[in-house]
Amino acid sequence: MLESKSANRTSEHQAPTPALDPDDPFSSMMERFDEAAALLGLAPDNYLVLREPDHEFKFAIPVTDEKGRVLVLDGYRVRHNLSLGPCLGGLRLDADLKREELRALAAWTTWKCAALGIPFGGAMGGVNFDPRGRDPRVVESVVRRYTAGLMDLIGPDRDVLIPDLHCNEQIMAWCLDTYSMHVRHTVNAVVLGKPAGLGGTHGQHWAIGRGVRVLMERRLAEMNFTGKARVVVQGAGRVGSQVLREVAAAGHRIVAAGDAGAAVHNAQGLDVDALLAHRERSGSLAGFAGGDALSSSELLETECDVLIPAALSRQITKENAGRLRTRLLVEAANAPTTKNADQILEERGIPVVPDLLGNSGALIIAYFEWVQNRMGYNWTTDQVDERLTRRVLESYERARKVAGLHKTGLRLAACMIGVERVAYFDQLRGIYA
Amino acid sequence: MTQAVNAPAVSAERNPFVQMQRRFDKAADFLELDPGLREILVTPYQEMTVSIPVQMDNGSLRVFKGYRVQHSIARGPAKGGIRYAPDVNLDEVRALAAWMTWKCAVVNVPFGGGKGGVICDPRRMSVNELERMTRRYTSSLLDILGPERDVPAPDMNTGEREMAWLMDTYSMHKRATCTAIVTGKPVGLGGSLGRTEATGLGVAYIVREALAHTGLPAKGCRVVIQGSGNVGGFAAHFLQEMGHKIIAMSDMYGGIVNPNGLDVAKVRAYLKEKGSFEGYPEADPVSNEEMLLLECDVLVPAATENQITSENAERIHAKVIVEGANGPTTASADAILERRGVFVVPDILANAGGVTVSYFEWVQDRMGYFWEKDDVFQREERVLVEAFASVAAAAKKHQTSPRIAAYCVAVDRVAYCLKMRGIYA
Repeated sequence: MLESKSANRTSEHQAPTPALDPDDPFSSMMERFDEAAALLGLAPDNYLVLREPDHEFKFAIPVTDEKGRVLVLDGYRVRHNLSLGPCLGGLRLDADLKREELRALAAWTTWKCAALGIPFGGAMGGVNFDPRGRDPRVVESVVRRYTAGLMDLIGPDRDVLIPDLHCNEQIMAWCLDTYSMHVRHTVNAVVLGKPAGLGGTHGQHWAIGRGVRVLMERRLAEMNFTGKARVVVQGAGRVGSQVLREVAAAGHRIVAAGDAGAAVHNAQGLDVDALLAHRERSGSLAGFAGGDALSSSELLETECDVLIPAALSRQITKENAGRLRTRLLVEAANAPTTKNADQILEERGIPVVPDLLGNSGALIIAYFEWVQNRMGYNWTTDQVDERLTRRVLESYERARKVAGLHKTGLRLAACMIGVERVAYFDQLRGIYA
Repeated sequence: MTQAVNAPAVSAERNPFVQMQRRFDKAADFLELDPGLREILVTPYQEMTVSIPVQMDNGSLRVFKGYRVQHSIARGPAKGGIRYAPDVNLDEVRALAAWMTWKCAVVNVPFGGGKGGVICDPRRMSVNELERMTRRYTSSLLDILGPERDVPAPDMNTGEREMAWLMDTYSMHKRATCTAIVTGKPVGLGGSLGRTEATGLGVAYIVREALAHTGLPAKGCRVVIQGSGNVGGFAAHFLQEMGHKIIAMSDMYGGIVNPNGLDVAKVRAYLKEKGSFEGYPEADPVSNEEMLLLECDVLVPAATENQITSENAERIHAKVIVEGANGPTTASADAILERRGVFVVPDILANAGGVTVSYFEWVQDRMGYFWEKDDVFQREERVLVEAFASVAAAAKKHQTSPRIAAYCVAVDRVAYCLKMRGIYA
């Protein structure tokens, strides 16, 4: 079912992830939390509550497979914190889904929403099932039964689902339909990332790119860099293509771009539309005539003003951080820079706009979709643009201020804002019962 | 933070989940159960893990971990206890939830199986702390509890008091008094008359049926009862009333024996007054291990699990064993007893009087009309006599032990409902 266009887009719905240790994702995520908590001087009482997910729900999903056999899958939903509002979090369909990872991602979403001033807590869920290559009817059964199993937990004011690994608009539409059938009326705010006619919002396909571009320009201005920048983008999928289009449309020059298969370079600037059309046709950037081929390591080390990793995590490491030839790093991917690389970049004086801010457009646009669904009235493209830009820049300014105050990097500062906000409101609400 | 999701390292013979699973597998084989149904039945329907922040009396905050597992809802709302103990873990809760599914199905009450627990040490907590913890636990589970969804009951270290708090918290959230949300409540607050005696009385009824079935006399049998609490104490009382001779009883520290028979009323009064059997004049002391090996007709293990094992099963003299406790016999001991021709009435039937009267409590709460104690007892008797007959019939049909027969009856009933309901979505 998931072939065709949506397949490409689907597989790149990544979670808002810090660099997690695959063996112990929750603890490694909590290391950053601990660091933030220590700098904030958080009271131990607050600390304990925030370290544990509020709810972890596991349930059986019996489905009949392609051959008529019954298989019983595991469904999960972890809700980390409910003090700022409804939970918001991904739905991932992944054969080796890990409970620990869901826990970590739920907590990370809590800090991220709080840092961006979005009134949600964090959640994460999924099924140990890979929909790729499966009969659409089986996938539909899995998604519908998963949604039915969550009827007690989800809802526009309780817990809202967004697409994550291997999910697409079709899957989100099935969630919406199942939920709506159970409550006997259409409820579109329970699921975000919907198609336009089903309650989707303007900006769905450019919000991340817009955020990246706006932050890049703001940071360059602070560095007294004027004029148009030379930009390198790693990634040409859902996130990468948004970034490429947005940055090029603003008049900057894309001097190199790459995806998993190949990379191309053109000092005069790549024709982004032609490049993406080529990728659409052939499935990769390889063989694109409008530039010279590059290896993927050369791509990251190309001389430029701004480097934007917009694909995978752990791309900039202690091996290559010393060889980057850029003035600025803006993270559109989740956790593209390792901890060691961070340190090298700091010593070299290359500023970093961290992922929490860099790809904040994804969560902000989800929030806007929810708001518009609740009022049943859609904003214009201009309204979405103006509100998104303002929120991205405000979040950035707040993080700059906190970083200055605590003499830390922007990355930790952004996380601290999130943790402090949740801790403060948790305490204000107090302990029930 | 400790994440006690794995079972503690106990030998397979003593692991509750393994024990339950072995018997389930045997029954499923007899029934030639469809592999799909089998997979559904071994997978819990849903499991909730919650964080329970509690303000302690000294002003500090502690975060407890709580669980609720619903194993099956095919036959009706999930039903099962909530336990408070330091060694609660998800695996154990899962096993006990499945156990409840089979137990409810054996006695044919319209419930599925559930179980819950909180990792805590209730002996080191004040009443106020326990109350806050119970209330927060309840409110965290509000989405999955309900008289038509999941009905908790007392279990290890919880009782009427906790059930009343649970009922109150649920009712305050629902803005209406809802007594049927939980059973084991105090009488007067929606509790049922006869619930206290129900399990012990049920054991006595089952002993009566087992004696008739095996051709032993209906009076004058020598009975050994390991335990003297809510189950063992009442079983002794009712069995003596039926004309049997209770020759030994015990508590957790040890027991007493008198081959001519104990005066149960006297023994229980003595125990209540002194707190132990020590120094009881009209009997000799005996250890909990030795008493199992006494010469007798009926043995009622009504204390704790894993008492009859591969180590002592050869030396047991009783002709009939009626399991008042949960899991007193290991699966390895089963085989030995079966070979030796001992008639063992399994826990899921023998102590199901408790859940039967829990069901009656739920029924009375729903209708808002309460039965006399005699009505409760009569109805309990009817349910247990019928259940015993269906287990005996299944044992005959499949040529197997009453235990596997009980699992056959239970699994067959649950599987039938699952099959008729089909797979949703």
